[in-house]
Amino acid sequence: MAGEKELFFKLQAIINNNYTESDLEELILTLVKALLPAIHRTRSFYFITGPYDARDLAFLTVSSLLVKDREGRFPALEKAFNRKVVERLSLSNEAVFRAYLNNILLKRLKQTYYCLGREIRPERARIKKEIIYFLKKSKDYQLIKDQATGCWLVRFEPQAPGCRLVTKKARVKEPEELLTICLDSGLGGLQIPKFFRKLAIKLNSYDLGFDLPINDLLIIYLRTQQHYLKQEVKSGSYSGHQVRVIDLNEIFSVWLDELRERNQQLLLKYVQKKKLAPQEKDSYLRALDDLFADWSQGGQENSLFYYLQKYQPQLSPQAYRQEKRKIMEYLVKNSRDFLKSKIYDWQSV
Amino acid sequence: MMVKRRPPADKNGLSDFCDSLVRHWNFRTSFELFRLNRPPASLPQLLALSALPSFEIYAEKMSFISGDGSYLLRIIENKTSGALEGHLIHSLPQKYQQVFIELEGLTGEYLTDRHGLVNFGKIELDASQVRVNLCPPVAIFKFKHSWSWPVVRIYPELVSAGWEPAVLDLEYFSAASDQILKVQIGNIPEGREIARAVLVTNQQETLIAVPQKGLGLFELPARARDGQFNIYE
Repeated sequence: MAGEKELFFKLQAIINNNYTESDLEELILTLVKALLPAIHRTRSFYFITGPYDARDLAFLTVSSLLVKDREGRFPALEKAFNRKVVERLSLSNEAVFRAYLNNILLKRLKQTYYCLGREIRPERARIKKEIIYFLKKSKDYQLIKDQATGCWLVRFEPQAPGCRLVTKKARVKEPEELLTICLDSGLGGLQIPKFFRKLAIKLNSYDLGFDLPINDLLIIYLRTQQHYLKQEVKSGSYSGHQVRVIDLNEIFSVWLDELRERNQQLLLKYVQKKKLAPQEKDSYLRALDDLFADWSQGGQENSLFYYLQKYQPQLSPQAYRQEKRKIMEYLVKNSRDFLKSKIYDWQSV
Repeated sequence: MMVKRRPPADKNGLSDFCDSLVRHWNFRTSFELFRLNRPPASLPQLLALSALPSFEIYAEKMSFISGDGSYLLRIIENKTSGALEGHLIHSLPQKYQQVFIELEGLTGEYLTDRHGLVNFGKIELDASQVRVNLCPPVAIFKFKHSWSWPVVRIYPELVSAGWEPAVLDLEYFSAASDQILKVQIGNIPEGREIARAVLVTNQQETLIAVPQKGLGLFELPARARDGQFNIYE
């Protein structure tokens, strides 16, 4: 492609903070134009919260790459095109530069998708691996290589009740059709093996087959789960049963009262065994109260030492390790087990 | 202070997007400083400002003052390197920290650091022509980085008139090796536009972005703990 080398030189000038407005403008235009087809190709693979069109996604991806620092440099761009990469690209031809640039853009685009789709820790690769693992073992599905495109496809052929192969039956043409079947059949909330087994049963009952890329199946699985989670949050229902409307905070406070009583008894035993001074008992209880408050509001914020030190200001880390740690950890372990059993009982009722 | 008016930009077009990233921004809430015509400051004042032992290294080029007298900007020349430095002074730290300084006729964007200092580099300033504008943030948000709270809503600590309802929704993302901070600016007042957003982490690292649809994605520097997010109109 003509002008690639020129663009590479401009990119170098930008990285070296020795650029003009037109250099930067040209780079932005190139990046946006390169991103748009990729977005049209991949947009449907990702679930995005919010009304973002292809151009918004391109702008967002490019602007995240062109975040400046106070010196007017672009740290993200510099990281992507570090010294070693620039040296390598200088010695390579234009096609290598174009491939590297595309690779960087696709990575950034993926990141944009993840951020907009609120996938805090991208789990797609793991889920895809699990799907492939299951499909390889499954007798219902076949992995076949498409001769035309070279891509791996998943084939499903519906089977008659007597396990006789049904020929010339209807086939799912679009992934959306299969997604609709998944949603209508209530396949949300299922682990991968169960999901695909139930899907096979459903498709057999409809006499439907399909040949779809693995990525499409991944998207269908994720969409079904996302839809299920949204519905669950919205309706507060689970598997058709109405969940009791009870304020968990209220129950939690009752459990905590009970727990305090238990901890007080435990601490009294320590006092009786002279492992604890009587005046110390209160500081343990207050430290545990703080810890429980943190548990109910998102999680433990600090090490146990700091919880106790708040009420025993003279306490040193050494003294804590030697004398107090075992007691504190025992109390915390007991409390955690107590709450776990309470929650378990409450859920199983 | 006088607020400049400019027609709202059409952010939907590619050329406008390019302009917003590339061109020198005409901040809506910037205000002009006036030239202070007086003899250069005496030795002790300059020493205090530069905190360097030799007076001969620095020479005061010019000074500017705001209309209400609350801001003072001193432009000082480093005689050895030939670079110009700006020292912005105000009684309140949040008024001189992370303030955009526009020098008319020059394309660069200059942002003061937490001491109110800015390095203009080797630029030519026509003493008789130069005009200076300041653009302080319209809202300042402060937050603490915490992985146990990956999604947080932050309310502004310091806010200009009209921007009171603005909120920040922060989300942390962990990619393979990077930490990404997604910042969604919410409740942007009707008819107002965010020109720049500045993220300050660990009181040093400063990243400047142009949010798209009120959204910005930042790669956080390593060991980023606390942060401040400023928005500029």
